[in-house]
Amino acid sequence: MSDEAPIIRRLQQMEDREALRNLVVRYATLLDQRDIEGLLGLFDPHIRSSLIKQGFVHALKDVRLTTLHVGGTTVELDAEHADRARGVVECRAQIQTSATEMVTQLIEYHDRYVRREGRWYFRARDHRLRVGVTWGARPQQMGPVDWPRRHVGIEPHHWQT
Amino acid sequence: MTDAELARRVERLESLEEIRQLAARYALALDQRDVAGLVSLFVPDVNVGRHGVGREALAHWWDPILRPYGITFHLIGNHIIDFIDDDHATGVVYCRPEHEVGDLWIVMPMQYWDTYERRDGRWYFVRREPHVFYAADVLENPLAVEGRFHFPGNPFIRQADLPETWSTWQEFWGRPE
Repeated sequence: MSDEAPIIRRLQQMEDREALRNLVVRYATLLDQRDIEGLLGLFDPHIRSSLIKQGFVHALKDVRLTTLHVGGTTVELDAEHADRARGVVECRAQIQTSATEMVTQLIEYHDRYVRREGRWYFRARDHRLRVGVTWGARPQQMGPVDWPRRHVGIEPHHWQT
Repeated sequence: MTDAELARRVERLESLEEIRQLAARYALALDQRDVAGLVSLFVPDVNVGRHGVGREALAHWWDPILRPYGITFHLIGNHIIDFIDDDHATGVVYCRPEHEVGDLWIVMPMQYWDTYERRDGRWYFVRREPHVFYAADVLENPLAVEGRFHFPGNPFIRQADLPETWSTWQEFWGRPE
């Protein structure tokens, strides 16, 4: 790749960013559809079986209707390894947690991506629930975040910035 | 890499960007009640079903659809685009529209299922199909609403059909533990 003209490298990076944004929004839609094969297909083939073992699919039975609306998405391509990247994805989700309960969640996904044979995959998704709130309530009433044990909660005010 | 290959890769990126712009402009045109702008996003021979063919027919169809609300705000997200070939694509766009309906404030999370086509170098919608997760007043729990759909006077969309419409959803819940 390093012998390629700078213009090709720039093009490749645009394509990479595009592919990663695509990956992120596909995850949201496939999860809402409960398209399990499609969803697992977005992850690095090397980690799929451990993902299943960790109960990723099983956990989807804990909730009913979901809508994951993705917003801001940062993409940082790795300067040293052309096949690695990182990003943070903001998401406003509505999650049905019981027959009568719909909660709103503000989530950050801290992602690591890997390219294998020309395709980008999730290498890791760190799901961070920042705020989860029941219908008609304020986040401040929800107690501390403890995901995935609880779907509601508010994060402690720990940011240095 | 040949010049032709290079041009094709750049063109694909341009197409993606142009299709994303279609969805953004559509949302804005709805909120601005810019019917002329709205219909210009569709192919000139857009099929409006029993209302005819073409942008004029589409504008005529849109007019009453856009009247039952005051303020609207269509917040879009999650735009997925799949190319069929260089001039045809399909897509899914999420939208979280809010509508002022008299004293109510109706929120209706939904998806558009899109078909796009490039004509004479420009991308257009061929069709947009709305599919709705729920509609409810902002102070209402949507699960407490009959059929998850409370949107009085909506002349176009009358029911919530997601997620039940998806065959993958039905298969998932039909699976043994």
